[in-house]
Amino acid sequence: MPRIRIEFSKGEQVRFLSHLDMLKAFERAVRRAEIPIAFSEGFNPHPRLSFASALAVGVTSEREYADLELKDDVDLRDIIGRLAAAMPPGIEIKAGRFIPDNAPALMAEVNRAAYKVLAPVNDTLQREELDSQIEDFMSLPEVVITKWTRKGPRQKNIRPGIVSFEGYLSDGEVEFSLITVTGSEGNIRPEEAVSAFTKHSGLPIDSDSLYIRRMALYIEKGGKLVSPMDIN
Amino acid sequence: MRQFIENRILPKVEKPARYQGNELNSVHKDWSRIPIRIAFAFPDVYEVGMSHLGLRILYHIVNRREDTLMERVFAPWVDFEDQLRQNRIPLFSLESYTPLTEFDVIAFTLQYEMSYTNILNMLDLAGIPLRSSARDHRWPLVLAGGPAAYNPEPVAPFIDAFLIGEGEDAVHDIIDAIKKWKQAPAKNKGDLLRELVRIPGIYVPEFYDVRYHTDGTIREVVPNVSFAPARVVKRVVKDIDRADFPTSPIVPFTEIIHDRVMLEVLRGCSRGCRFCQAGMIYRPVREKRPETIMEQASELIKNTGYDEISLTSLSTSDYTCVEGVLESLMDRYGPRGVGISLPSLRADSFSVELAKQVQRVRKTTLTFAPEAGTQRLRDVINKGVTEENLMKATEGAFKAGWTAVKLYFMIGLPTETFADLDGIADLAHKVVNLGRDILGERAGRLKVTVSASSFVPKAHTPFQWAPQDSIEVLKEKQQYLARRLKHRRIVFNWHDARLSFIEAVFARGGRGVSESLEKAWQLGCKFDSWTDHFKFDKWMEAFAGAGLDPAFYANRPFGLDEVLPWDHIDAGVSKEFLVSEYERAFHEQTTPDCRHEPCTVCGVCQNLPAAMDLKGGLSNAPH
Repeated sequence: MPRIRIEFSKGEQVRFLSHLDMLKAFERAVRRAEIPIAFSEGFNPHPRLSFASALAVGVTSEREYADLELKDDVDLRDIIGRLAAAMPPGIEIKAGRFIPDNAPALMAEVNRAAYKVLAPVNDTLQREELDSQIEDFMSLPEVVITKWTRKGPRQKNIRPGIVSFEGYLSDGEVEFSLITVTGSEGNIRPEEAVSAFTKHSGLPIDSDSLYIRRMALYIEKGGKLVSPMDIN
Repeated sequence: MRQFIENRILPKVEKPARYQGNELNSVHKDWSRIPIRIAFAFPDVYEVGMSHLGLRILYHIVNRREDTLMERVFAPWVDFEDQLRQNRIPLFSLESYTPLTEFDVIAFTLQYEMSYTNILNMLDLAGIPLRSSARDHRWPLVLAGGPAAYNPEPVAPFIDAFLIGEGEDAVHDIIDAIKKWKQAPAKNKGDLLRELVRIPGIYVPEFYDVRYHTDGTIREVVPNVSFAPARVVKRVVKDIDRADFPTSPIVPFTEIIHDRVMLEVLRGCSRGCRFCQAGMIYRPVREKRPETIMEQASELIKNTGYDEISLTSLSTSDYTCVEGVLESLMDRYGPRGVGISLPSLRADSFSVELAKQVQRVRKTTLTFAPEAGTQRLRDVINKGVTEENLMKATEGAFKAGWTAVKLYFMIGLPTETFADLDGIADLAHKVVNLGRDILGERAGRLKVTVSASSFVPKAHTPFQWAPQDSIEVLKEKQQYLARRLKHRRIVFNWHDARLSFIEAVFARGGRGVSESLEKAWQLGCKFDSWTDHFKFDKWMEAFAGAGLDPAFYANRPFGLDEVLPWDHIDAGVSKEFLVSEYERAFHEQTTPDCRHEPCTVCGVCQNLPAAMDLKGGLSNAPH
C-alpha cells in the first residue's frame, strides 16, 4: 500500500486548535477530497493518518508532517492537489512525496524541533546584557524546572534538551530562536526554556505572553539535522 | 483588536478555539459592501450553540442573500467574560470580531428558559441597554425566536420583536422590512416596529398592554395600536421537502455536542404526549422525500467530511420511509466509513430493529423514554408505549448485543402517586433481570441507567394548566426512587428540583416575572443550566427583591377559564383541543395518533396554511 508524506503549515487562522482538533480537521479534509485512505482493522476503524509531533494550542507552525497510508495506487500530484483544496483556511499543504513501505513512522524518527518565540520586554534591556545572559544560561551544567503534575511538583532538568538557544532584541521584544529535543527522546517545550532563562537571568521579559511559532521539525542523524521530507 | 485578543486573551482562557471563528464553511463577508448586518446570538457556549440545527439553517439562508450578512456570537465562558470586562472589550462576533453594537440586528434564539440570564449578560457585555424602551433606533434591533418564544412574556421587556414559529421564510420578510426602513430618509424605531408587526408571526410586545385582576391573574392582553394583530399566529413552512436546507454547514474545529451531519428528515410529531411542548408547537408533521434526503446527505458529506450522519427529528422512527432511506444510506456510506445514527428511539421493537440496522459496528448505549412507570400514568400523559413494548424493545437490544440501556422518566407528572414511582423501580428491575438472563456470561457488563427529570408545565401543551410539584415533594420522590433503585447494575440520575422550579416560573410566567430575571442577573446568575453556576439562593433573593411569589407561576393550578400569559400567541393547536386533552388526561383516556386514526381536530391543519404531509403515505406510518 502506498504511503505518502506531506509537509504542511498551521497558520494564524487555526492557531488555537489542539492536536486532536488538527487530526480531526485532517480526517475530514481527507474525506472531502475523497482520498482513498486505508483504514485500521477492528471494530472501530480509523483512517491511517499520523502526525509527526503534537503541536500545542496557540502555537503556529511553518513545517509539520503527516503520513497517509492509501489503499490504492494514486497519482501524487492529483492527491496533493485535492487535499490542498479541501483543507480549511489556515492549513496549507506545502509538499508531498511517496515514502518507502519500510520507512519508520514519523513519530519514531522526528526528534528535534526549531522554534521562534516572541516575548515582550517590560523594561529597558541592552543587547549586550541579553547576549551575556544567554551565554551564561547555556553554560549551565543543568537547568532544573519544577513541573506540576497530578502527583504534585516534579523536578526536571531541561538543559540536555536545549540544543541551541539564541535571542535578538528588536522593537521592545526579544525574539528567541531555539532548537529543542522532541519525540521519543523527551520533549522540551519552548515556553519551558524561555521562562527558565527569564528566571535565571532576571531580565525584564514577560514570559506569560509568548508568541510561539514552530519553524521546523528534524530528524537528527549523526549530528546533522535532516528534514523528514529528505529521507532516502 | 483581533490581534490583542489573540495574543493577550485567548492564550489565557479555556478552549480558545471557541472564539477563533475561522471554521470551514463559515462566511466572511465584506462589511463595506453589505447593507444589512445581523448577529445570530446563541445564549450558551459555542459547543452547545453550534449543535443547534436552527442556527445552521438560518446562518446559511441569510448569508446566501447578497444584501445581508449574518455572523455568530455565543455566550462567552466565564473566564473569557472576565477578560473582556477587565480589558473593556465589548462582546463581538466570531467571524469579523465586530462589536455587537455595529450590527443592525441581534437575533437571539430561545431554546430553553434557563438561558435567559445569558441573554441579559450578552447584551450587557455588548454595552447595549437591556430594556427595549431604553434603546432608540441607533441601537441594534433585538429580535428573538425559537421554541421558548411561544411564551415570550418573561423576556418581553428586553426584546423588540419576536418571531413565532419557523424561520426559513419569515427571515426574508424580516430582512426586507429592515432594508426598506434603512433606506428611508428619517429613521425612528417606531416606524421599524410598525413595518415588522405587519409580517405574519411577528410579535412586538410594546404594542400590547397586559391588564391584571386583583389576584394577579391576567384580565386581558390587548393591542394598543390598530395595526397589531389580536393574536399572533405562528409561521409554518408548508413544504419541508422544498424548504431551504443548507448543505454546506460550518464544520467546527473543536468538538461540539452534536459533532456530525445533522440531516432533518421530518418536522413535527403527532404522537400527542400531553407534557411535550415540541410535540404541539412543531405540528403538523411534514416529511422530506427519500430522494431529497439522499441528495442532501451526499452534498453534506462532500462539503463537511464528517463520518456520521444523524437523521434528526422529534421521532425519526416515525418517518414513513425510514426503512428504505436507512438501507440506501447504509449501502452508500457503510463502505466509506460513514456511520448513520438515530437520535431518539421509541421504546418498541421496530425502533430497535432500526437501531440494529444502523449500529453495525459502534455499539453504544440504547436510550428509551417510557416517561412514566405505570400504564395508568402513561395513559394520563398519552405516551402510547406499553410495558410489553418496552420489554420487547430491551429484549431485542440485549439479544442484539447491547449491554447498556438508558431509561428516561419524568417525575411529578399530574396525578402521580408513589405507586407510579414503584412502577419506575419495577420496570428498571425487570429490565435488569431480563438483561442478566439474555446476556449470560456478559452480564457483568450490564448497566441500566434510569434518568428522572422533573415535570415542568409548558405553554401550549395540554398540561399547561397543571401545577408543578413543590421542590420538597420532588426531592422526596427523588429520594424514594433512589432507595428503590439501589442495585449494582442500576445507575440513577435525577435533575436538580430547584432548577426545574425556576424553569417552571419562566415557562409559565407573564411579563411580571421579567423584573426578577433582571434582578437575578444583577445578583450574578448566568449559565443557570450548568450545575456549577446555578445559584438558587440568588434566584430566591431576586424573587423576594422583586416582590414576586414564584410558586404563583410554578406550583399553582391555572384555571381553565384563566387568561394565560401566552394566550395571544397562536401555535395552531386550539385551546379547545388542549382543554379536551387536559380533561381526558384526568379520565385516563388516551387520544390516538391522527396518522392511524381519524383526525383529532387539534386545530393545526384547520387553522394554518399547512397540513400533514407523509411522503410514504398514511398506511406506512409506523405504529
